[in-house]
Parts: sequence; structure tokens; C-alpha cells
Amino acid sequence: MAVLDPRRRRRSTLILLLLTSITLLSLDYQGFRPLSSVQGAIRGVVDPASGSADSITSPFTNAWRSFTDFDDMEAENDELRAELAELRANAIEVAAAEEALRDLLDEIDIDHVGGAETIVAQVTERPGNFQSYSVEIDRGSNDGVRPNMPVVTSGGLVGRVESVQENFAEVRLLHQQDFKLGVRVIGSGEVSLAEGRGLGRDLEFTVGDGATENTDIEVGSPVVTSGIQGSSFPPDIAVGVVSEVEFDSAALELRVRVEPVADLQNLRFVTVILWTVDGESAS
Amino acid sequence: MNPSWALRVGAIAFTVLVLHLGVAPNLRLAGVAAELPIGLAIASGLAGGVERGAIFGFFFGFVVDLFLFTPIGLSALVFGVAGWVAGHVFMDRIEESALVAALAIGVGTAAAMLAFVGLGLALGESSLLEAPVGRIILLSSLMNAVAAFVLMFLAHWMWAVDPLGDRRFRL
Repeated sequence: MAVLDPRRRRRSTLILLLLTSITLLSLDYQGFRPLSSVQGAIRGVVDPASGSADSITSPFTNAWRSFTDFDDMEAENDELRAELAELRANAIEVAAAEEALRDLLDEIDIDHVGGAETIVAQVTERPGNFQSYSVEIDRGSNDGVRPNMPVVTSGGLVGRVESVQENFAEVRLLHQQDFKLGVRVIGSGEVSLAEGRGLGRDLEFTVGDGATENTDIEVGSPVVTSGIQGSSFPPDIAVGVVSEVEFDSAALELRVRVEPVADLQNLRFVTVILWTVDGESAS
Repeated sequence: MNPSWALRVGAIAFTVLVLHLGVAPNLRLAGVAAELPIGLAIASGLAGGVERGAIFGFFFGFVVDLFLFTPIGLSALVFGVAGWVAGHVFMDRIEESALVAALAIGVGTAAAMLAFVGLGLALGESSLLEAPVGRIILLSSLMNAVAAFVLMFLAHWMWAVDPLGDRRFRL
């Protein structure tokens, strides 16, 4: 076969490949549906195999991770032990508060997110070298997943569903730069719009009207989703804790940074809350 | 098309893709995973020549694109050009030395990834800059250079059915 001859070096081959690539790029930007079908078919073959490879090699890869991350893991273990002790103490208070909240919301007929259906999904494609702002999960429209549904872990909010195929979906993580969400600071009750600022960086929001250096937002205060009207998240999902409060005397605004509680860089399983702002559900 | 050749190419591409998606993300060095697919595209050009490198690189890049969130066609373009350039190096027979092949794959990986980020930014994928680009390029190039011996072995085996592709590089 002529094309297999390693001595040939036709420029036309390169030009043809360049033109085909450009065509593919423009088709992709226009949302050409057959490309999605090809994508779904090929992923349907490769995803189970890569999942199996992940499982088979996990003893080796776990050993590698414990070797390369030993110091970090030791420090993390100490930190986790301290946090666990604190959480145990808080758990009882939280359970009591949750019960009171549920009773109150039932009383005034407001939907409580704790009652929304959820579905657990496995992260099939963990953040790669250049994909730190999105992950892929093994649940799609066949499982009731829809765009804009909130995605959480037991730690807190992870992000929202960006796009959905039949058997998988893309989840955009909340540290992405243009990621916006309404938040409320527990304690002060301050409500604002927070934005992601990139991988490994805390979220940020500003408090403008009437803010002073003495505005009551403290480092360490928990931050949850505000759930105000039109918000794409239901209320009271844990987002993070206030990590820094800075008063900008020139702009007369308070700049507040929030450290997410969910570990966005080591996601293996997440929970999709089957809830959308417009009430569209799996059914 | 020789069915044996197609089977070999498919098996190698599938295996490297599965390793890239399922295993490499768990074997990170300073947070960076190996970029084996681009290494294989370059090795296929080094072992197989200009047109085979370009065509294999293009189709393999297209398949890799289906698993990324960057635009479909971006990896195909970069891998295709990388295979084509590597094929020119083949004509100078540098692949006959394992060390030089490792150097070519390492440098080729760095250049290809730089092109991937540059083109991605030109297409509006500004989120690419959220990642530590310099560290990723440096470490993944080094990892691909270390993996060059295996990648060259695979690429030679892939093309070996063709009498013109059965050359071996010497240690």
C-alpha cells in the first residue's frame, strides 16, 4: 500500500490532515451532532476497559501514591484526626438543627434539598494535566442526569453538570474561573455572588453596600449556597469556609475568600442531586 | 489494507489509550501524569516514516480528542503534525539509537504540548492556563523520554508487518 511506504513524504498528506483537523474543529464548535454519536460509541468501548485497568492496577498505583505523597499524607492524617474529633462533636448538634430546619420548612411549604433524589456516580476521568476544571462521571441522561444539576460529595459542593450524554456527563468544578454561585455566610447571613478563581485558589466574593472594616464576617465561618430566587443551586449546600477577609478602603468593599470544603483534586465518587432550578427532573 | 497490520495498530492504540485514561492519572509525579499518546504518535513517525506517522498521529489524536474537554480536532491536528515531523527525523535514521530516540520523543513531546496549549489558547480555551503549563510540559516530556524505549518497541512492532517497517534501533 502506497501510503505505508516510509520513504514517501508528500506535502499533500500533511495539507489534507491540516484541512481535516480544521474542519473537525469548526464542526465541533457548531455542535455537529454526529461527532457526539461517534464520541459516545468510542467511549462506550474504551471507558469500561480503562475502568478495569484502573481497578487491576490499583494496588500498584496506590503504592506509588503512598510513596510519592508520603509526607503530605502524614500531615493530612494528623489534620483529619483533629477534624474528625471536632466533627463528632458537631454531628449531634447538626442532627438536631437539621430536624428543626426540616420541620420549619415543612411548616412553610418550602422544598428542602435534603428530600431531593440523588444518584451516586463514579468519576471516570479524573482531572488530567490540562483538565483540572472538569471531570467526567459515569451517569448520563439515561440515569436522569440533566445539565445544571448540582454535584456534591460528603464534603460539600463540587460543581454542576455541564453537558450530558446518554451514559456519561461532564461536571464543571467550582474552582473554574467563570464559575458563579450564590452563597450565604453562616453567622452574618451575608448573601453574595461568589466566583471561582482557578485551580487550587479559593473562591471570592465581595460585599459592597454598607460594608465596613467591622462587618461581621469572620475567618472560619461556614459558607453555604444561598438558594435565592433564580440561583442554579438549592439552598444550604456546604460550599466552604471563609479563609480570608480583606477590606478595600478605596472601593469601600469587603473582599471575602472561601476555601472549598470538597477535595476537588481527588474525586472518585460524587453525588448528583437530581434537582434543577426550573424543576426539570428525570421523569 | 493488511489485516494483520490494522490489528496491530488498533491493539497498540487501544492499549496506550486505556493506560493513558485508566492508569497514568494515578501515577503522577509532582501532580503531572505521563502523556503517552503524544509519545506514541512521535514514536510511530520515528519508526514508520512521514506519512505513516502523520496519518496514525491524526487518527490517534482524533480518538484522544473524544476523551478530552478541549475541542475535537485539536489533538488530531497536533498529533498529526508531530507524527509528520517525527517521520522526517526517521529519514535521517536517528531512531537507530535508543538514546537519540528518547531525546527525540522527549523534545517532541515538549514541542507538541506547547503547540497544543498555544493552539488551544488561540481557540479561546483560556482554562488551559489554569494548569501549571511549564511543570506539565517539563515532567511529561521527561516521562515520555523515559518511556521511549517501550514506545519505540511498540511502534516498530506496529509497523513490522510491512517489510519496510521492520527495522530495529540498536542499543
